[in-house]
Amino acid sequence: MDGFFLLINIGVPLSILVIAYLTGTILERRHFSDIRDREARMQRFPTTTFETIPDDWEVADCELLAESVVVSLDYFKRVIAGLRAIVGGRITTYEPLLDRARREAVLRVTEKAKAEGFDAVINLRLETSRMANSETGQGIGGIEILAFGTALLRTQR
Amino acid sequence: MQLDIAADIILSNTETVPGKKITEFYGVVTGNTVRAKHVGRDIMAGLKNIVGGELKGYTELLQDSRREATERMVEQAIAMGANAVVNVRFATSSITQGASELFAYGTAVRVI
Amino acid sequence: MKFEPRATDHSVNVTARHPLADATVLVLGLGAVLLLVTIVLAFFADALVARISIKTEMRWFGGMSLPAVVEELEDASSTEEQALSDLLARLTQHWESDYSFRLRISEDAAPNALAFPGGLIVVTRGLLDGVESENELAFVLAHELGHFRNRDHLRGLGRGAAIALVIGTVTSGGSGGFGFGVADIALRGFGREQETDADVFALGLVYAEYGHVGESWRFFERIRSAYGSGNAVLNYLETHPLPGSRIDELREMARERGWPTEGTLVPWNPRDPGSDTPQD
Repeated sequence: MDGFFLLINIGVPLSILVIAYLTGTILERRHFSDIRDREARMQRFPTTTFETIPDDWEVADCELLAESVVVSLDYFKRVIAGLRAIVGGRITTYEPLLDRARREAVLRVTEKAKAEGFDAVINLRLETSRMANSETGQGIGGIEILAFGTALLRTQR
Repeated sequence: MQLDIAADIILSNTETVPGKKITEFYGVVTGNTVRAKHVGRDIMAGLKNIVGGELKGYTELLQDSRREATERMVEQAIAMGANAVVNVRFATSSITQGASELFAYGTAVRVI
Repeated sequence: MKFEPRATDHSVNVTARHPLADATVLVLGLGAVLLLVTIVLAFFADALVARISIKTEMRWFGGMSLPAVVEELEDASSTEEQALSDLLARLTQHWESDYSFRLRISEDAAPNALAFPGGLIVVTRGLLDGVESENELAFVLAHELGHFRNRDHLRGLGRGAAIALVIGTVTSGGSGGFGFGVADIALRGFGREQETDADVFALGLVYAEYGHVGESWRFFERIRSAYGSGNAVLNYLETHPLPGSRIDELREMARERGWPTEGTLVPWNPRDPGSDTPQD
């Protein structure tokens, strides 16, 4: 009887932790390698945070592009983050998540710009916002990263 | 906050570095850090919250974190061979309860 | 202005620390701190309990209604309950206190006896149906009296509150059910020493009443044969020490004090209308 409750109270969360850790790690690794490949392809695409068009550019067309990505930590990392929040300090488990989300969002903007035939993206801006189910911030802790910027088409000379 | 972390890099939140000319630009550089406040600081801030005013503990924490995010951004810029980062922007967002992300980004350029 | 594509060094934005290393440090560190806080709080709860007099306890909890855990009580006026009260009264002759005890029989099939604040003792049907002699039952009742003397029932409340406080603080940081599971084990650890202390007291009381301690550990022997040697892990988690080790401890105790382990046994059959409970 007691053994059964122990199994429920400790065994189940523990196995969820292990499963979450393993799948989370695999998914993260896969996403990072995908991002690296795409970034290598997009490396020659000019992307800046300049607010104005450089003086020596002649622009034929422009368009505002906005792309976003919503991500969430796996259960294992969320538990570590929760523990870390008690003692304070750097929450290292969030860094890879935000890093890949941000790179993904930027890639979505630049890839879209390239696909639509534009030559560059200027005034790139990044926004981060938390999506929570309740005011206490618990529930599904989704984080949205929004990337937006202006895509430019330069006149051919 | 001392933002000029490396002596040989110029940071600016304007389009250009005043008095200098941008010759090349290399791309967007970013720096981030996620920090949590700890329980002890929370208690002090909770007390301070009653009377209002500056929560010194939190100011310090956020400034310290922002400096780190900037440092990381500068590191990226140096690795690219840049000598300035222009149009730098800061973004602070609450990631979970009690934790904030400090994020800095800008365009790595070469100025003369 | 010329665009000069350069590779970005993205490694700077991710701290090179393995999440498992982080997890290990955090879990061990926080676990140690929590354990310390819980122990300190429990220590204060103990100290506090010692300051509550039995009279105060009776005033606070004397009229307490039955706890929700005890359900399906038998008719309070049965002859069996009368016989139990008599037995309790004889045992308490050897231990003067400000308590006025109340006895209730619960319709639970698992053999057990429980002590509640305010002098309430609950005995289960499973225990009464299983006992083979009054001596055996007397030891179980005396054991509960031992809990009252050591104020364990109140300590349980104090420690429970201490642990609930710690757990409550922690769970606001995340990971709910897991914390409760851990607290459960921590509480069990506390129980063992108290059980042994209550056993020591009970053995003395039984000796004073009967002049020998025969059949005192018969109850544990029956539990042991009923559950078998059992799963070592699950046994470790039981509140009470292993029946086997407990029997050995009781034997050792009796031997040290020179109390005879055999003697005339008093039968226990209050449900038979013809029999009367023998008096010393």
